[in-house]
Amino acid sequence: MFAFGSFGCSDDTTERVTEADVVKNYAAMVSANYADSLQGAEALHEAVHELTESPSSKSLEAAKTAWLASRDPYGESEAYRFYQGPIDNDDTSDDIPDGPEGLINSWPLDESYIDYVLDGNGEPLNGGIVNLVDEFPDIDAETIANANTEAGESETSISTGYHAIEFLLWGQDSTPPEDLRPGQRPFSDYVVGEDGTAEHQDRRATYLLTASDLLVDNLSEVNAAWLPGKSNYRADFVAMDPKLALGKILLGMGSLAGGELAHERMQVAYDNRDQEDEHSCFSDNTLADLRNNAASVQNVLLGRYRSVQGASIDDLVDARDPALAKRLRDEIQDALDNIHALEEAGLPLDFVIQQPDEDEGRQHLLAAITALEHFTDTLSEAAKAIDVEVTFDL
Amino acid sequence: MTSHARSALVLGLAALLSSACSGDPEGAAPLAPALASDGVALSGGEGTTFSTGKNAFTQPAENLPQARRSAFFTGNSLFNRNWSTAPASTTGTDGLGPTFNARSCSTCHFKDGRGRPPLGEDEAMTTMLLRLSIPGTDEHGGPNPEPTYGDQLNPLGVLGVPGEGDPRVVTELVEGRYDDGSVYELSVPTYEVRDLAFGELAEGTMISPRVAPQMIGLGLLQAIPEADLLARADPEDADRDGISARPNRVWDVASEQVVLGRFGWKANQPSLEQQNSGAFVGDIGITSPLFPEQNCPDAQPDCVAAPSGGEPEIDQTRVAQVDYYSKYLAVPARRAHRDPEVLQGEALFGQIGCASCHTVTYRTGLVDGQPELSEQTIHPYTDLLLHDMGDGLADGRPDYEANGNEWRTPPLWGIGLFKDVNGHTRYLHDGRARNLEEAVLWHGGEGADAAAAFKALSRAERDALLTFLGSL
Repeated sequence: MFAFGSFGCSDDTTERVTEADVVKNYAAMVSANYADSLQGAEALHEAVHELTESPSSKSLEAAKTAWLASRDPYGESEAYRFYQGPIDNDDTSDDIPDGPEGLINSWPLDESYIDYVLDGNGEPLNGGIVNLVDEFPDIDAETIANANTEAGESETSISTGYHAIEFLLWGQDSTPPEDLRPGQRPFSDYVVGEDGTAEHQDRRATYLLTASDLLVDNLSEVNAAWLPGKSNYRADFVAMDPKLALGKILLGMGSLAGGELAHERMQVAYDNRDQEDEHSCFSDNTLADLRNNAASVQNVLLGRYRSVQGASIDDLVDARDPALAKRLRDEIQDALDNIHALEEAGLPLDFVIQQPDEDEGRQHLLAAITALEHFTDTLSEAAKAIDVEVTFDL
Repeated sequence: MTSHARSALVLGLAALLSSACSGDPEGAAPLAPALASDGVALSGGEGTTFSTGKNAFTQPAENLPQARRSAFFTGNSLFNRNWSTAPASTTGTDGLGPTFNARSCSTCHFKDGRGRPPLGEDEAMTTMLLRLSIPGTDEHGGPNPEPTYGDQLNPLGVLGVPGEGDPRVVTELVEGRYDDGSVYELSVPTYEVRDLAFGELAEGTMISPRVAPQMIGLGLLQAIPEADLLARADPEDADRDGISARPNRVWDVASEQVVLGRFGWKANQPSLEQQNSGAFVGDIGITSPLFPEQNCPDAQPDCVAAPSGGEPEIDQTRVAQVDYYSKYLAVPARRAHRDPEVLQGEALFGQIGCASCHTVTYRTGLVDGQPELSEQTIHPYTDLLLHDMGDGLADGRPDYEANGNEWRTPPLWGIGLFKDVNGHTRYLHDGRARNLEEAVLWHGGEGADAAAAFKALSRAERDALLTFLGSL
């Protein structure tokens, strides 16, 4: 195109996005995203507090609504994982503290470690930390965070985080998928006295409050690491060699898109057709989780999150190879379109995966998986095109 | 592709031999070094991956087409997934324990890599385990399990079920000297089990410590024709080279017969399938079609009474997905394989006798339904056979036909990447060697001559050999 006043020297006058610009804008996105996640967790904590103070169907519904709302920003933040950053660092040889991801979003949940569950005959097993008074006289953050790490086991606990709270709000989803209903825990599980259901309502309330309190703490920690103008991880991140930082950014995107999302969260459910082989199995919120994760990848590609908008990976790739950049944009959009189509059908994922292969929903799911796989392959090409070395965690 | 790979191999070996004989790595130059070296670099044949860093071991074989990758990724997910306590909403993956070593495969094989021993007496044992047995054999000639604790110590239990005990390692440093007078130190471990939940171990209990090995290239090892492995066997040391390569003969549960052992530190497992299902029940407490019985000795009533996650807890579909996954994990390509120091070390590796057991090259056979693993020229650096490694390394615990001094030659591919993948450089069956140098120095028995030859090398030559090992 003719560039007015530039006499064909458009390359000299067009502002080129630099690698450092992309890194800086990424840091701003991450910061805004974790701030929203923290806010969501705080709102959830308030709603949970209200539920435990005055349990009713209304306060239970409000807590569930707050939980669902809190999942959106967190789901959109998951592309910031996988590179030993503040959220999930587990490298003990560096200065960065271990990340709390395992406490925030671990799955599958050991629900029988937490509270009563129904056995194979539908009879309640009154176990878990809530009901085992002798073994766990006090329920506090340390109890629930350490419950699964006895004997110094290095694995993080699976009795905390979003899914523990989800289980304590919804209960096990023991209805058949065709009923299209999530878990049906009654609010009376939190009512002390003769109107109460199940045992140890006060301890259940303490557990729920403690878990949501811990979630706020954990997200505060991550949020602090990315706050602007501090001496923190973000400061180091924007100061490091931009190629290294871009390697981390791409590692997060590709590992979420091609590994965690396409395979861990979708392919397994697709292949094995297990009713509860899905991420938010108590609340049937799994499709929203998938959408948020795919959006997370797209956000990073396009350098935008809510009001933050700036230099992006897309700009860098586009400058080297516009066709490649277009493929990246198209493939992630294709994945999102298929997930949207599933959401619009209004059926929970645990129902969709059990249908025959010809079912439209299952086809959308498969198409979304395929699009994410293509996207991940293209992202590898794009990394080479912009001279960044990266091996995704598939 | 195939013929290209083969000619690259021939040239690669020629280069190796040439430099080995002349002692001059530059001697390889006339033999088209780029092609020669590149053939040598493709450790896992056409499936070799060029991945590096923390995820170097996690990739599917490069030649596995997209259409055949879905089971790989589903298997990968099951490999990484924490099993939960039964009963759980995730019915497909509940049934942890009742006693166990780990909640997932990837706890020990983190990033499909290598486990390590605790770094001190105060650290719990997480990515290695202790096998237990008493004198005698089971009905099939295998180890005779310790009566109260079974054939493996499970330190952990689900809620309400006690773990069996707390294994600890205590180490002591001993000094040695190279021929040039310089001093080295080796760390000698001893094992103890604290807080045994059901009383002392039976009289005469034998303990075999074993770290979790890296998962790469296992399908390729399974695809090496049995005849080619047996061709290198020399049980009576007929050629009097001081090395008696012995095949292990072990019980195959599926076919109910005695067959060649290939996998495990003592070649005590006949197949990946049996190895995997054995680890599911032994390490995580997950019963399978192949091993439907829970590992709860009668002396442990809470273990016996704990709820089950199904009968069996993992179904054949999922087992097959994990098996598939474990077959197709790619072997990373060698790095810096054309570096002159690496080439010098490669020559020394042959000269001092390492390659007598660490067989450099095999060609896989035709495997039905697994074209990607078939007819591949691979460089695993193992003969998969048993060797007496001397008293220093002995566990004193027979395992089928492997005696208490014998270990299977472990593959060396990928050993230079443990640091990137797992953040450590621990080697040998119990991770006692703190780096590659110590691993070489620990070699005794049939490996003693090679270790002595290593000690006689100059500092520069030793460094070259270690740099070569690091390139694998």
